[in-house]
Amino acid sequence: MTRIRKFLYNQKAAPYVFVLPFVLTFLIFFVYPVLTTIRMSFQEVLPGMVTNVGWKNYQRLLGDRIFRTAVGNSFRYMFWTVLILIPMPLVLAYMLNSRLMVASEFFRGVLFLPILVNVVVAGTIFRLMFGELPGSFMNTVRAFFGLEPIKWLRQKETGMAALVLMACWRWTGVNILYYLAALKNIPLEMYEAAEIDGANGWQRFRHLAVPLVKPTIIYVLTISIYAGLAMFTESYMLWAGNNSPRNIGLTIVGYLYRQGWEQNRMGFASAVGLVLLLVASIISFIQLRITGVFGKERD
Amino acid sequence: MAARKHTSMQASVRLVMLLFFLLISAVVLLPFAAILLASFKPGDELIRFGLNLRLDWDVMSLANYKYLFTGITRTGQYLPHDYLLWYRNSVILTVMQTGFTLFVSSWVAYGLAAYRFRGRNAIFTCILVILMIPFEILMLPMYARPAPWGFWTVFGGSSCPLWLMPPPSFSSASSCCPFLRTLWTLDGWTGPASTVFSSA
Repeated sequence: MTRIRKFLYNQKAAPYVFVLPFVLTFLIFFVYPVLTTIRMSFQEVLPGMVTNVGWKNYQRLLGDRIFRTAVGNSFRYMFWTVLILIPMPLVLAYMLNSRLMVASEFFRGVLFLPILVNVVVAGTIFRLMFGELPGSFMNTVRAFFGLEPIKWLRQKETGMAALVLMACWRWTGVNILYYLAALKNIPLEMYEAAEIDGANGWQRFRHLAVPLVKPTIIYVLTISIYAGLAMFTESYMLWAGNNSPRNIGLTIVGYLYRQGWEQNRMGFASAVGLVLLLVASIISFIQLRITGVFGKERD
Repeated sequence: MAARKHTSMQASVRLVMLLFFLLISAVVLLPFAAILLASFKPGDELIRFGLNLRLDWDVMSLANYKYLFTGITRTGQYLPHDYLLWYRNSVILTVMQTGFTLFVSSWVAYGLAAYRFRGRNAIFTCILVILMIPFEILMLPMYARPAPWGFWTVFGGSSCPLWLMPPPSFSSASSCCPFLRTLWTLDGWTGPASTVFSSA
């Protein structure tokens, strides 16, 4: 008994007891499957029959036109979501944090509501809103401005717009929360000092708030880049399946899903997934390097 | 005089911001309004005219809700379905997942926040690595090959990753990592967890 107590109060052992569940989950549910995926990407996996094929899966991937479409779509989606979902919520959060803001709590709650809606439900709502009928919501909006109804989800640009709009609808509130948490940490005195020094509203935002929440911006940027590249469910729900007209909504993970589950090419799908992993890692690394998270020792 | 000018400007800023956020809120709430309205309309109405904000009292009724809870359709037919069973399944999964996630996250996060120990940075790196791995990559091997020790089966087949792992339907990497989220909260954004990012 005393031995157990001694162990529990041991400053050296205690932290490892605390992180043990994480380490176990990480090994069983991340390391093991990822290693298996790497092995599978060099194989042809059929039920009860596994053959080693070397780099064949990767070679096929290089010449795959549909894969290139999927990569293009994922990158365009990532670009637009990052472009909108990084600065816009920051400005909104700054306004919500202002002492001049009325009913700040209420608006925060409203903007956060969409993320409580399951992505499947959200996708269904947006699919119906972007319907082809003249009476579908987005077409009634067009009619309001005197424009003809269009087939939103059958054209490349409007389809992408629907995806990006849905992402903005869902994630703005979440990013606002991230930014607000950081903005709240800036003491009021600093704003007052800046005001006394003659800084106007924009200058206080640009030269005081933005630098101080930079770590949060980088965090949100990192996860947004990755979430953009790995998007799948949104597209799957918006087109009620993995097959959009001329693959305008096909993403990298969507292609992985199509190859792995719909066409039962697990080995090839593994290669698709690993290429995504590699690309996402490289981009994140470059971005963290540029923003200065890595390479800190040099300054 | 200058002071009064100052306060009147503040009042107008206040008003503009209020109007601005009222507008945004209206846009954000639009899809909710649309789907709420649609829930009162018959399904063929939705297929014929699409989802919109048209208020049409003649076709709107509580018939969909009646069917949902009693299984009696608008024509008086009895077509039972398992809505309440699905609901129960969702509740069970949610409780299990939330309970487990909360417990493990706070447990691990406490260890990381309260102690300085060898390998701590390695753990942070692992957390970042989790953020980088799409759930679908992990699904492939889980589906194609059960773990050698039959782990998935022991823990109730495919539901296992669902409650040990972050929910797959969350597309944001941030929500994919309960550890990180709890950690961030515990740290109050200024502690050791954010040092990973705060050197910028």
